[in-house]
Amino acid sequence: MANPIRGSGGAAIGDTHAANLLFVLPYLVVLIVLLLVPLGLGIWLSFQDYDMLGGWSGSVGLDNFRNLLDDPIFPGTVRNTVVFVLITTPAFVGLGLFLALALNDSLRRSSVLRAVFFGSSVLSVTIVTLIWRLVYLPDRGLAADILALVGLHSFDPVTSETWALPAIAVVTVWWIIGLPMTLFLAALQQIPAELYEAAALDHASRFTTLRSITLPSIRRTIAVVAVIEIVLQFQLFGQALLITGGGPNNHSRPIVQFIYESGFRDLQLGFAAAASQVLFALMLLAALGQMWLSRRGED
Amino acid sequence: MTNLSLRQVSKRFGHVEVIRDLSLEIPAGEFAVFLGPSGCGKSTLLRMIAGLEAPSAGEIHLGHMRIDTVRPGDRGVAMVFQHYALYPHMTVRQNMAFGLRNIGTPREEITRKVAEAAEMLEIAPLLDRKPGQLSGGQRQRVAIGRAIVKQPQAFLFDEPLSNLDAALRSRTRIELARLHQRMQTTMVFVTHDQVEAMTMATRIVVMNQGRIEQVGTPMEVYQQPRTRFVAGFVGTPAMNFLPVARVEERGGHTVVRLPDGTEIATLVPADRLPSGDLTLGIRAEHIVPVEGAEARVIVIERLGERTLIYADLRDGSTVVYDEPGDVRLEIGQPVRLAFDGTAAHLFGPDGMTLRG
Ligand SMILES: Nc1ncnc2c1ncn2[C@@H]1O[C@H](COP(=O)(O)OP(=O)(O)OP(=O)(O)O)[C@@H](O)[C@H]1O
Ligand SMILES: [Mg+2]
Repeated sequence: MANPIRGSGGAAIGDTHAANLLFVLPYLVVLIVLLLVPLGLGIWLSFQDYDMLGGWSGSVGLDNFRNLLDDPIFPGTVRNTVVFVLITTPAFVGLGLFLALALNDSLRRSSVLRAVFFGSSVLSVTIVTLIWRLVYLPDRGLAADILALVGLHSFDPVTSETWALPAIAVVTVWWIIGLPMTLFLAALQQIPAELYEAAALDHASRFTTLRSITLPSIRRTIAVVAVIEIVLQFQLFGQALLITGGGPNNHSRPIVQFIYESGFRDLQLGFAAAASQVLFALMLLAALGQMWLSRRGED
Repeated sequence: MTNLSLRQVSKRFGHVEVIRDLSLEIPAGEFAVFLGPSGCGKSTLLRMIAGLEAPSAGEIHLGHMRIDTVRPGDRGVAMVFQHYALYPHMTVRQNMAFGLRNIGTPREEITRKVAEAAEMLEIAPLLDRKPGQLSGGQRQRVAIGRAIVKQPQAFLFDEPLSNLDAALRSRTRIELARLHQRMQTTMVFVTHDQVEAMTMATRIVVMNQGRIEQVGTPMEVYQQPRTRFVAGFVGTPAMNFLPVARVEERGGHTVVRLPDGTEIATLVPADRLPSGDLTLGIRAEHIVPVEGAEARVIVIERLGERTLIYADLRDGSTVVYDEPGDVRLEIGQPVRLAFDGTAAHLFGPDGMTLRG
């Protein structure tokens, strides 16, 4: 007798089982309690007049957002944050890729350097900023010494309106370049060696090989790193707070610091929530834009 | 003419010597097949010719040029890889054009050459697809096309058929042989499949443990193996090997005795026989089931056009012989086997074939 072949026990793929819900439940609960509820609460808050001391005094519609536009400081923090992202994201992609390409071999030297470059990522922001405040010390710091060599004396980036933000960007790149480097290294190792051998027989120069073999093979990773860094760097906070405190003259104050100050110093929760929504929208737009760009380049 | 010449080439990986002092001349226009078991160094040898691996010692010449010192792209060779190594993000057309573009070939010429090769390999309709959208056999053709457009002085193939199914493999074998006849270019083909070697080669290079065992035409290698290794590696089913004792000489030729007492008169001259154990080698087709040694059938392998019979001699040693496809036999049936001594080989204790 011909019996159709059956899997033993359990449901076939496509069947729904109430019991299966149990397996996703823990994750679902965490997602709802820690992510969706705060997100909804934040959106709701941004339309309220909510003072931490005075409490809730009713809905104010779009007033919080209008006030943000008219705020003397907020538009500047948006500009600072966007500039910061524009400086650091290409740096993370470019430098991360460069380091990965340079260290993608099995030499002892390279594995030591990989560890060194990744090492700083494990430091906390306080330690990192401590180190860099020493580096940036006017007249005595490492940066001053190096700049003196090229004839730039008494250069103090931390108190310069132009250089404060780039100085923070340098710290940030130094701090967490390890992640993009590691992602790129992982991607490079996935490229079959035969492709490079075929390219060598096809007379490809090193530059042609990079452009025609390596980069197209890791374009997904490039896009992923770009999106990760956009999302991460929009949330700049600790480094700015600890190195420049947002100064001089608000020229390095990021959005998150503004949110923190209006929410937890000035205790205007509704206002701070509105600023958070702006940040959220910016991050979403930038990440979507980046994904659209890399998808368009694919075909 | 551009013949390929390897002169005392060695290759070491660390302390392991993979190729030992190997010399070989491949005349221009040959279809040379490197044949040997897995790990014997065939790929390593091919990769040294291609420039993907540097020899530890020795020289490689192609025509009048010493090539082991120049970059892979400058050697005038093209290689077809086992896994094809097509550039996944380029179309078939771009894959084939890549090498030409890199040496600055004019655009019209590239277009013409790619079209010609695509025509020859019947892949013209695939030119705008990417490798991921091709079947294994189509990829394989594209890889060959990529080699052809470069008009190399030598083609190098590293087991390019091993990923194809049996039917496609035998079809591609024929096509490669035809391609060779048409282009008359030197081809070096690596395989561990002796059928591929026998069917395509004009010259087989049998390798074992980093050394050349024998170089010869397919029939030379089949009929006059120089060593016991070659005799056993080439031909299906594998040659029968039986330990024998030398008993007498008859008309200058050696007569040997099998363990079961059967005497076989060979054509091997009796003088200059080495002392020590001798081995008799005889192929299935040279054992005839008429009369002679008693044996008992233990396995019957029906291949369709012929049948392989495995039979135990009285002393327990097993031999294989063949019969027509429709032979009536049963397992356990007694048979009598005659060994054609004139077609048998004798091997000395060092594994070398004994000859006059
Ligand atoms: N990069 C390497 N480092 C160390 N040993 C290697 C390296 N490449 C190959 N070998 C060794 O060299 C020997 C020959 O390898 P090779 O790839 O030439 O064998 P092959 O004859 O092509 O075998 P197969 O039929 O399995 O492809 C093997 O023993 C292998 O382990
Ligand atoms: Mg191999």
